[in-house]
Amino acid sequence: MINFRSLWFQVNITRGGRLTMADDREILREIWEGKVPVCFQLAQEEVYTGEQPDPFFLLVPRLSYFPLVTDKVLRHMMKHVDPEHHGEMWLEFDGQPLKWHYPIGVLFDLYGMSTDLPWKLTVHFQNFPEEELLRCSSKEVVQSHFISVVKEADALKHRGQVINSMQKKDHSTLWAGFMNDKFDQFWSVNKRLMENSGEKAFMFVPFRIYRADQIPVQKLFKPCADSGESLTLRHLLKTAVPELMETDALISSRVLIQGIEPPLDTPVCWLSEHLSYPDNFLHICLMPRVEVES
Amino acid sequence: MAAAGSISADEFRSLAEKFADTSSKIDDGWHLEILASQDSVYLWRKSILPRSSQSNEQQKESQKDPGSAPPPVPSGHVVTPTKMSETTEICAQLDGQQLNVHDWDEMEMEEDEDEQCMPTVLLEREVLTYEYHILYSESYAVPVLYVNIYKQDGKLVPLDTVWEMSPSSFQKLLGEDKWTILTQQEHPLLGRPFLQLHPCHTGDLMSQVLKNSAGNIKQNYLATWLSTVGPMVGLHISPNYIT
Repeated sequence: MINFRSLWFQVNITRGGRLTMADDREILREIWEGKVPVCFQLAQEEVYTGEQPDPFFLLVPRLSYFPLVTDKVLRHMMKHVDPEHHGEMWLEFDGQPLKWHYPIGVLFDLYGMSTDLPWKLTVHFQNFPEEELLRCSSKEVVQSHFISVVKEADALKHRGQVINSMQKKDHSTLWAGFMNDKFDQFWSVNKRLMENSGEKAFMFVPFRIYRADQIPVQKLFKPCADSGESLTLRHLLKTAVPELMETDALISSRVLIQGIEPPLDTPVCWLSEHLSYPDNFLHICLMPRVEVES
Repeated sequence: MAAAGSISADEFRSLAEKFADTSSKIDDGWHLEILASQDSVYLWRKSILPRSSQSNEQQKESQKDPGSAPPPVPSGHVVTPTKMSETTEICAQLDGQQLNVHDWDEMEMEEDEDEQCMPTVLLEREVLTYEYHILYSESYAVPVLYVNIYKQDGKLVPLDTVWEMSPSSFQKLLGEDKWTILTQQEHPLLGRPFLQLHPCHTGDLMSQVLKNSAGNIKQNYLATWLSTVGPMVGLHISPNYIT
């Protein structure tokens, strides 16, 4: 994350924001490789064998989803729970059930940013909070969720014309590239979804804004004004969360995308092309600044 | 500018208001919810319906062999759909089956002589609560149907079971593409899990329907759309919505 940040500023400042293709790729790579160290611990009250199992440590990709990376955690913990009374595994941080259908990086930016590393998560097999979390019985559920978000992103960017012109095998390639950490394979398809020129120029920018304890905000936002001016992250926040701009709330908020705080003058198009998650959405987290600096 | 088959947010709002008006006239339980903070409206309804009389196993069996007679309904008095009130017909269509007398009781149907000889043994039949929400998707510029189905203990009916409960006319479609048609998603206004009928084909569907229909079709947009896709999740719309 820190490397990326310095890289971004370096590129942006020294070259006046003009990037070459090689720089682009370097940034996409850097984003792709972002990881979060996580410590998984079985909920105390669910330990059945009398002895608390060792915590399980993993370095998990920011861009991934928890059900795709926790097979080993599941196998490790399962040995210690009541074989008669357990259901689907779910994760919690500090009393907050974690929505697996948000990318790991989003969950970390929302809940883990101000804690010590590794990020300590509690593993549960009982009392699944079905009023809060989506069920995830298999990786097919994750795939279906992922593809549906990609489709929605393309509906926003290109009226769905790019995704609909693809064949099923392209969807499979995109998914396999993502799931198996194959950057080139993923981008061989994703570059078509990210096309942003001429007839394929983005109509709207797919984004969601997250705040702890609030329902995510999603609105229609055009990347350019009618005058042709490129709109910035500041414009986007003004449109999507006007209450934040009216007061001095923005000064006391951190605006995080992929774990970094991009300058508010960054064009939204650039952010969408470079800092979107593989689901093609720009996931933006708003955090109170106070806690972090205390 | 909007693509064929889509509607604008303002169009949705006015269609939803009319839909709620019609509903209050015929008293079938749709409500309009206005969320000022999110600048959104949605329609919702709760319906209590008996669970399909088939077990899942029986249903699977009957799908394998479409030529065979439907599996027997549980013992007890059997009524034919022609004798039922409108609400019961909805259930009959949901089941694709005949219903036994017990179902009447659960739904507080009007009196009928058959009811008096209803065997008490059937009173254990399960009743499900269907919570339907109709939202507008800005991304797709179409309405989207969300549903949660609750058992009597308040637990959600799992997605697998909802797929299986879907009428036989939808089974082929679900067999091929269930993961892109009906899955669990986060309700965008409430943040809770709901089953969602995916909106990505609604625009195409409605442009076909609009093309092939004459008259006030845009005015009937919601009813036309719901009567096409709703039955997949047990939702049937009164003809009173078509003007």
